[in-house]
Amino acid sequence: MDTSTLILLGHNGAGKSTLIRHFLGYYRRESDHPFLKTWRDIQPLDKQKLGFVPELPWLDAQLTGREQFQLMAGLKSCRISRDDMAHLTQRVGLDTGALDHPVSHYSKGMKQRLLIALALINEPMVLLLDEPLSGLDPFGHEQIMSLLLALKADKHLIISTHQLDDAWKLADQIWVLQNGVLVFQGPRPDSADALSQLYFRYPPHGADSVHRNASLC
Amino acid sequence: MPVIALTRATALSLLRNGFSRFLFILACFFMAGALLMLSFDIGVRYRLLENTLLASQCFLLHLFAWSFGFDVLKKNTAEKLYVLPFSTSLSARSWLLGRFSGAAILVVGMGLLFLLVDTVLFAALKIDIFSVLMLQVLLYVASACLSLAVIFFLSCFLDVLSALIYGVVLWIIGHGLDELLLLTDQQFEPAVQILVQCFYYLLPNFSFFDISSQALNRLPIETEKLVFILTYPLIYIVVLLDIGAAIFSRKPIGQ
Repeated sequence: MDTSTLILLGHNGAGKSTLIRHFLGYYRRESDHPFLKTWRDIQPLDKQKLGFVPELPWLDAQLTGREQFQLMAGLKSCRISRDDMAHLTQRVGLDTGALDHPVSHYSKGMKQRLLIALALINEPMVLLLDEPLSGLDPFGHEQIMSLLLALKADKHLIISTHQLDDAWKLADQIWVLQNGVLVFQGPRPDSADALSQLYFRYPPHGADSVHRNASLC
Repeated sequence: MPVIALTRATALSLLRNGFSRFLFILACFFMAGALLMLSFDIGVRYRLLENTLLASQCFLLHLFAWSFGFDVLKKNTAEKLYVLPFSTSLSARSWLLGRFSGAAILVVGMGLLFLLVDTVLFAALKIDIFSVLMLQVLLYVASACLSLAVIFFLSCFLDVLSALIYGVVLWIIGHGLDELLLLTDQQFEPAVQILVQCFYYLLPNFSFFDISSQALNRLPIETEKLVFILTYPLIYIVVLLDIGAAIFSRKPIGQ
C-alpha cells in the first residue's frame, strides 16, 4: 500500500492540536473557533478509517489495559480476542503481562504505547498522533520513534510534533501552521537543518518584538 | 455495542473507586444500625425496624446515585475521558447513555442487594414479606436513577459541582411537590395554582415514588398508579438524556 506521513509543525498555539481535533470532527461546522475559518478547505476525516493517539493519556486509570482494549473495541463496534490484544501489545512493544494491571500503574511510555495499540484496533488506514513523543525519556523516545517508523510502512500517519529531528525522519509531507493559518505545505526538505530553517521562518506573532526587548535588557 | 462497552467500563471503574467501597461499608453500618430498632415496640411489632430500614435504604440509594454521578462526571471533565471515545463514530446520545447506565446499573445492584437483605431479615424475624414494602425499595431505586439522570442532564450545560448541587436541590423540591400542590389547591389563587401545576408536571416529581405509608400500613396500591409510577421515571430519564445529548453534541470536544 502506498502510504505517506504528514507532519504538522508550528509554534505553541499555532493550531496543530486544533487542526487534529478538526480532522476528528470535534468542532461543529458553525463553531466560533477563529482558526476554523482559515481551514474551510480541510475536511474532517472518516472516523471509521482512523485511529487517534491523543497528546496526553486520557484513559480511565482505574481500568486495566485489557479493559481499555475491550472498551475501545466496543466503541469501534468490533470484537477483540485475547490473541488480538496480545498481538497488538507485542506490536507496540508492550509487555502482555501489563494488560492485567490498572493503567494507573503504567509509566508514561507504557501509556503512550497502549494508546497507539488502542488506535490500531480494527486496523485503521490513518493514524492521527498528537505530539506522541513529548515528555518521554530518551529510552521511551527511542522506542516510540522506532514504532512510528515501523507503522509508517503500512499506515498513513498524521503527526503533530515539536521535535524537528524526528519530524524530518518521519515526514513525507510537511505542513507548517502559524497562528492558526496554514502557511506552508510541501514535501520534506532535503535535510533536518533545512526543516529547522523552515520552522523558524514562522514564529508566533509578537515573537520578534519579544526578541528585540530581550536583547535590549 | 458502544453503549454496552461504555456501561461496563463505567461500572467497573466506579466499583474500583475507594469512595464506592466507603459507601458500601456505610450501607452495612446503616443496616446494622437499623437492627438496633428490633427491641423497640411502638404498638405494631417491628414497625420501627421497617421504617428505619426504608428510610436508610432511601438515603443510601440516593447517596450512591449522587456520588456515582459526581464521580463519573468529574472524571469525564478532569481526565478528559470523552476525547478518545469521540475519535470513533460514537454519538453524544450513546456516550451519555453508556455513562449513565454504568452508574445506574450499580444503583440497581445496590437496590437488589437491599431487597435481598430485607427478605432474609424479614424471613428470619417471621415478618410477612409484604409486596408493597418491597415495591417501595424498588421505587427508591427508580427515584435514585431519576435523580442521577437529572444530574447527568444538568452537567450538559453546568459544571459538575453545580450539576450535583442543583440535582440534589431538585430532588428536595421534587419530594415536596405533592404537598405543595395540595396546599395551593386549598389556599392560593388560580394563577399560583397554575404555576404550581406547571412545576408539578414539568419538574422531576419525586413525590410519586413515596408509598411508604401504604407499605408500612400494609395497604394495597392501585394497578393504574403502579403502572404510572413505574413508567414515569423511564420516560423522564429517556427525555432528559435525549435533551442532554442534543445539548452535549453542540459542544466542541477536547478543549
